[in-house]
Amino acid sequence: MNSGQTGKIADERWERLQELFAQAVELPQAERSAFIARETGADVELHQELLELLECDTGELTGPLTNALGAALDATTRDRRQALIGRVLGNYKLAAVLGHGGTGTVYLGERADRQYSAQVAVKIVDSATLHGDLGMRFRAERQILASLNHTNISRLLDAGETEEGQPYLVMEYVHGEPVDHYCDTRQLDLQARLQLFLEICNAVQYAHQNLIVHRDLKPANILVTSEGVPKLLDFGIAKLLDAGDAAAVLALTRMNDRLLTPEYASPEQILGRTVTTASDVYALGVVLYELLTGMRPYMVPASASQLELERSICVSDPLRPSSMVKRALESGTAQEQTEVSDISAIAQARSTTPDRLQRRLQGDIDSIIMRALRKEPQHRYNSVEQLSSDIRRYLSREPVSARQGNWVYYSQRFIRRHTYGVAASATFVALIIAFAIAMSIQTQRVAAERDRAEQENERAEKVSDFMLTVFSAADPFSHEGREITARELLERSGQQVREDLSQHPEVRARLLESIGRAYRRRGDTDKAVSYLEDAVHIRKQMTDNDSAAIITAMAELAVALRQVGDVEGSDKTLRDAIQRARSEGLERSASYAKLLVNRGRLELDASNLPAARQYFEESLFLNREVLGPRDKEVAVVLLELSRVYQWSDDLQAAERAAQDAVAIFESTVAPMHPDRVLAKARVGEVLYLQGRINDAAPLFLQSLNDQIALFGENSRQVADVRDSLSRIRRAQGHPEEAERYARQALESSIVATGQEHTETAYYRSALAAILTQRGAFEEADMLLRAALETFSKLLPPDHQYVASTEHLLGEVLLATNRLPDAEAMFTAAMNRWKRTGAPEWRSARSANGLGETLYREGRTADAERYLTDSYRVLATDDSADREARATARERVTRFYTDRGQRERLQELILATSRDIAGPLPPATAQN
Amino acid sequence: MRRERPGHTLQATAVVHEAFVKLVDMDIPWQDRAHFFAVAARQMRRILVDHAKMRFRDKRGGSATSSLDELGLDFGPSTTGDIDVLEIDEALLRLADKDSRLAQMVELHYFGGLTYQELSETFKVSEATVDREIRLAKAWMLRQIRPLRRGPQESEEIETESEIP
Repeated sequence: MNSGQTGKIADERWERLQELFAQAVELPQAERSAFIARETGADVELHQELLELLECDTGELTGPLTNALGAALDATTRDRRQALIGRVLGNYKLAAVLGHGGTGTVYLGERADRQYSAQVAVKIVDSATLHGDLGMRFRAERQILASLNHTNISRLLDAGETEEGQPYLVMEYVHGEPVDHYCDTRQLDLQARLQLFLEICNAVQYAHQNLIVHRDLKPANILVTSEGVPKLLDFGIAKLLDAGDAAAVLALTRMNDRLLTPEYASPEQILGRTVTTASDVYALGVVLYELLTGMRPYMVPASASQLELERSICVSDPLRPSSMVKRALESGTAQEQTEVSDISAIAQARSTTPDRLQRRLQGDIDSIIMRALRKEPQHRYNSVEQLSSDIRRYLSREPVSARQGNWVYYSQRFIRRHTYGVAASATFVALIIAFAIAMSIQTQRVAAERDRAEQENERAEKVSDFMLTVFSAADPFSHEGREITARELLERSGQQVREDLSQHPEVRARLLESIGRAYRRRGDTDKAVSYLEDAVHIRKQMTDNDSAAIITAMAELAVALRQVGDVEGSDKTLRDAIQRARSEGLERSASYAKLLVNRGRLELDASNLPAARQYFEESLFLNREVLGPRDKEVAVVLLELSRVYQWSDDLQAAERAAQDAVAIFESTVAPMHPDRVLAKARVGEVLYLQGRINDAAPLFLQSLNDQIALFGENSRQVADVRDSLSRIRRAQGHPEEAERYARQALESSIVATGQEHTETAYYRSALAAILTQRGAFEEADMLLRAALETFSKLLPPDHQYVASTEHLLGEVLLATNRLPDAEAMFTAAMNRWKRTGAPEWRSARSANGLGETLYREGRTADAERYLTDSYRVLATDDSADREARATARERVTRFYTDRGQRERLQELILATSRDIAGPLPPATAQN
Repeated sequence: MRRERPGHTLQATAVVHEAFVKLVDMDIPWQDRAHFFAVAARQMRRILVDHAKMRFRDKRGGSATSSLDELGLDFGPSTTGDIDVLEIDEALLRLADKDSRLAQMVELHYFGGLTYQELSETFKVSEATVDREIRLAKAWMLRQIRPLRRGPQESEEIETESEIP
């Protein structure tokens, strides 16, 4: 109550401050101080704060904060790059940074062995964590790339991974300048430019014949040597790096004020759809457009939003090259984005005049370029060869094929364009693509577990293609502009997979699995179970069934079943899967380790510590052996083991396991990775239990912020951290705050899991514990009974939660003087604790409550026995709760003091004193 | 409407890319774009802060990893008034304690690159409100940072432990 009141005052004050600040900044400098003095009146503090705030207000948009962040970004980037100079990769030593682009940094490399002096370009791909199967794909594809042997293509000499797992490519180092620059400085005319372009086409065509698509053609990737030989760089690199790279780049631009402009990317690349040789045809069209007109097809001013950019590339048609020149001529300037600022300079660089340039472009060239630039891949030239044939025909004055059919094409497009209209926001598209990538990566990860590389990739691609179709074809217009939710996407894709039986069972099973998994992660466990059951069913029926895949799917299903509360079903599924794994000889695999962890979790849930520990340790051993000691999975199991150690009161071991897990996560996953965030909270939990409360508090506060960002206010994870914070505040002596956190934890849990859930019941009893301490017995009583009711339905009778709640209820009953009820409750708790196999002090704590109850009932002989026996345990067990120990001591002291038997007390204290800080204080707790 | 521009249109793609790829790698069920960008911004913040902490340690430990060139660039006099990202992080933590919604807005703007227009959509307030609120937040954070700098030498080291309210 009280804390709520002060909180409210603080809020009001903050609001007032905001209001006054906003008004003050609108005033001229001279009037401000008078205004503030008038408004704040006697509130000196507010007055001072406002004055200082105004002093700090620059009124400018980019101030010291922005600059500092820019500098930090710069420094971080530079350090990461610089750290690699001098490093030896394969046969090459990195000597200097040549440049950097969207996907990585290019270094100048020298032969490390100095056998002969050869300079190479080494491209190191940004982003250290690459998804499971990327390495595999990388190795397969670089073989193909290395086989490209063409005078106009810079050769791939070597490739590999750095120690940190970043892929790198070693390429022939080309001395040359970008093609547009080359043509302009030499004032090449249209004829010469077209000839050069034909050479470029030849190189692209050669690669296409070898089934390699460039994906990222642009002048910067087309260098021309001083001898006039064009050299194409980075062939197929985009594909090598990531199938979804264009999409990633697109989303990236959102985060960084558009550092990259995908102006050469085809519409299908912008939309994250399948990229084919036609995408290169499109990019060649853009390059030719630029070489001939000096301008790019789309008028995208530098200040344009991402939305405008996409609208241009995916929807509106570009101006014909000749019209572009004409327009530039009429307005007197070319687009602001080109380096050459006016049209006569452009014409001059082509050894012509603007008028003549426009006339030369009109007709055939217009048609050729427009054909290459069509939105739909199937409407472009079928191949690069067709494009170059048309150019050759133009050069030899034969009729070009592009002129047929253009009119029909564009009028149809006009109609279509107007029926669709475009409202999709750029961020929407970016996000959808991000979902899609996340989905397809999740799917691909399953693939990484097996080694049939070729087949796998094909399937993974099919799966991600499907995801992309669902996601990008999801018609945003039917949603009246609002964002489509992840749930809607999932439902749509789920339905589609279930109805479409034409897919290969493997593909279907995998889709069902990833949809099921996605549902599970969202907490929609009922749906998850139904999809995963389907997946397992399909897998079991497949003739060429793959045991490892079945087992993995069953493990997923078991997890979902456990989360839905079907312990039995989960157990059965796991036993079945373990059986299957053993009979197939798969006991030494990561998937088997996964089964073991999940068995362990079930045992832990059932409060069966020794069995849980055995499963976890076995799984840990296996993971270390199969995946290596620093694998993420190892850390995952360590976290579970830490919980077991904690419940067994081995806090040293619990801390060690949790710290080891944190260390592994720090070197393997991102700072905001849910497991990493969780691991830190785990360390906090153990520190708290060790009494290192002030070390634990900041860990939990940070964790709370991160968990809210990751999972939202009302999630199980957030409820968990709030519960921990509540206990910490209580230990720090802030009961009001403790109560607030406990209430929030309960609220979050009710929303996240429901009223009738073990976790919700647990938080009820946690809140009750604080309320008991604060004397709010009535509410505590109600909460504890509700918790017991839930536990009786969902947990085995001898569960620690039940015992713990009964004990708390006993204390409430004792405090409210309902002695016979208290006696019964403490007895039940005491006996139950004994049966759970928990450390002895827990049952002793209940026995102590029982002793106190008996004493108040006047049964002194029994009381003495319980009070002294329980005190002995609590005083000598190092792991015993300190509060419980203090209470027990207080009770036994009062018992003997009241009865004038201080010497017996002395005796008892002496017998147990080795664990106690000092001698008995003379007269504690007399009242 | 005033048009704000993040001041760092520099070669930071490597870092942003790292943040993005790791984000995609996290197996999170994204609820909506606000969720996605909230985590992205937090991630970016962590990367920069971790890096700054590491540098801070190196500098104090007298590590010889930095070249002269770099020293000149990073620790020499600059136009930034020498505020560093650790101070911003600390100020933002304190702001979160006071007004968590505003702190989130600032985080999204500075570390997530969201424009005022996008913030106005995300927080369902007008762009003018976003502008006003961020302006206050900036002044508030600077006020938090300045006493540290003006104060006696011993306050140079930033306390990493957040205080408990």
